[in-house]
Amino acid sequence: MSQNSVVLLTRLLSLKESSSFYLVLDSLAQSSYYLIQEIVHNSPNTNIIYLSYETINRPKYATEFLDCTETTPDNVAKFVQSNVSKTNKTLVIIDSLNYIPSEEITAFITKLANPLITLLGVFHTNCPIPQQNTSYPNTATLLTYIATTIFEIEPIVSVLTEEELYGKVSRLNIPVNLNSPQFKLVLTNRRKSGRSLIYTFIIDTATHAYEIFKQHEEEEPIEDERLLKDLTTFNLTTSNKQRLAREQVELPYMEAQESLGSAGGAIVYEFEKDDDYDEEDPYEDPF
Amino acid sequence: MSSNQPQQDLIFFTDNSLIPSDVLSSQASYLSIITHVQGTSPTWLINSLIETALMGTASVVNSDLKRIPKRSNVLVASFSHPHEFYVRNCKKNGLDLSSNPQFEFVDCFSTLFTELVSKPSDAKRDVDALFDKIVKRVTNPNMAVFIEAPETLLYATNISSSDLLFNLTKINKNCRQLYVISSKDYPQYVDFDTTNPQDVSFKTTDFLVKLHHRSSLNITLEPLSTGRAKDITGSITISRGSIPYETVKVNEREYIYHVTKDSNVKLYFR
Repeated sequence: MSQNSVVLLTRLLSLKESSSFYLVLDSLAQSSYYLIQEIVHNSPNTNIIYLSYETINRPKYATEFLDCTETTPDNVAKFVQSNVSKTNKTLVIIDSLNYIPSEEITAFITKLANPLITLLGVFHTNCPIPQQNTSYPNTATLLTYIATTIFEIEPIVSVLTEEELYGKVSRLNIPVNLNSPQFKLVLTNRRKSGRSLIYTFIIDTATHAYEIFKQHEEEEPIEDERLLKDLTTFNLTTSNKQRLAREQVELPYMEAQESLGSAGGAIVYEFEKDDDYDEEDPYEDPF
Repeated sequence: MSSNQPQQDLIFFTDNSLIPSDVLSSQASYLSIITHVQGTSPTWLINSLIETALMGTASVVNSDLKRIPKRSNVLVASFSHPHEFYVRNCKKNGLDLSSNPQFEFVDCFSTLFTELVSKPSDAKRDVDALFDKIVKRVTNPNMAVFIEAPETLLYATNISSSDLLFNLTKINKNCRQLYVISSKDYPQYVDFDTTNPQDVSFKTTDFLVKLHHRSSLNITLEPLSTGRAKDITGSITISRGSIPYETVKVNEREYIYHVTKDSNVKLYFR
């Protein structure tokens, strides 16, 4: 299972898995920069169209670069469709979907969609979400409906708890050790059947290593008998021999399962020597 | 507490610099953000950065930096202080900004609502024109540009956070290093739970979050969370931004600092 998940991630990062819209959800604590670099690293010979709403410097890997701040969505779509490669795979990167109003976002994505294109859109989750009077979903929710693969990026923070980190970031006190080349990635991949596969990984973009994230189980408290010594004049501790004997005691319930429960759910009553049982007395029947 | 610890030099990068020469001469443009709240004014830091951009040294916060004559030009556009404020304060750094040909100042404070933006309720055209004026003053791409308190426009006019970001991008495209200095008082200006787009805190939060997603270096000034102390003014955190620098690495560090009555600054590791 774990092997399959890493294979799925590798195939997605190298654009070999069929998935038309990658949604990357990033935050101030961990930006999408390194994940995009990793996708580019894994996908050589790919025609990359970079649509910039906030990036100033044209990335070196971009085959085409468009500054969208002064262009209408229609012109953006025309630019993309006219630069789709017929021989190589085309990856369209949108550096931020936050600049497109929620009522236009589906139309915008639809205009860019093309069977030859893999679309990758980044959404910054820390941006405030405007309240709408209607019940229409907000941009983030809409995007998660449309996306075929969702990458949620989180930092690996060892010193601060999640709550402390959010407390600091929500006041724009950006702590140290964030935006690192190593990060946590929650991958949601929607299969054609509609089933969602969800895995969590630790990604190291410096070494290109991916491993499954293992939740640290709470360590069981070790019985430390030294704490019990010298508390009273009674002996509260157990010797090794006593402990061994205690572990070997067969508990009655377990014993019952082996000998009696084997009769397929029937209630079995075994008479003991002191039981006074009269076969002719109907009221004597224990059942 | 501070008297027991050795005083430190302030550095932002692993090459022990505050503004690396590689950045000023690079092909790429970078954004750094200095955020502060009431009580932790970053004036001493801005003055030191102006000094290091103009001549390499930062006499108040770092005694190791070497003098580099005519290092780069500096443009300051301030929405919260006039020219005289910088001229007077930078004297402590050994700078005479009134006669320094490398230093340029755009006063966006003194006549902001009398001349520059005459109709705050319909301000987009005036604001665009004001930023075009600033862009024209960025004559050399190796210039270090400081924009102080641009968020004033968000709570004093009807422009949106996207309008302001667009104008800041215009400046950043023309220079290699842009510093945006902004206040981030909570919850007046920064509130992640705000939902009303007409609210000042919504516009400012949206602006600052999106700005941080473009930044390569974040400098945060905060008062002590434990309360006021006589010998400590606050803490300064140097952290990586969303987009890394290509040639240099940010030296992430947290300092506590004390601005004394005679405007000296003492820094200690936290």
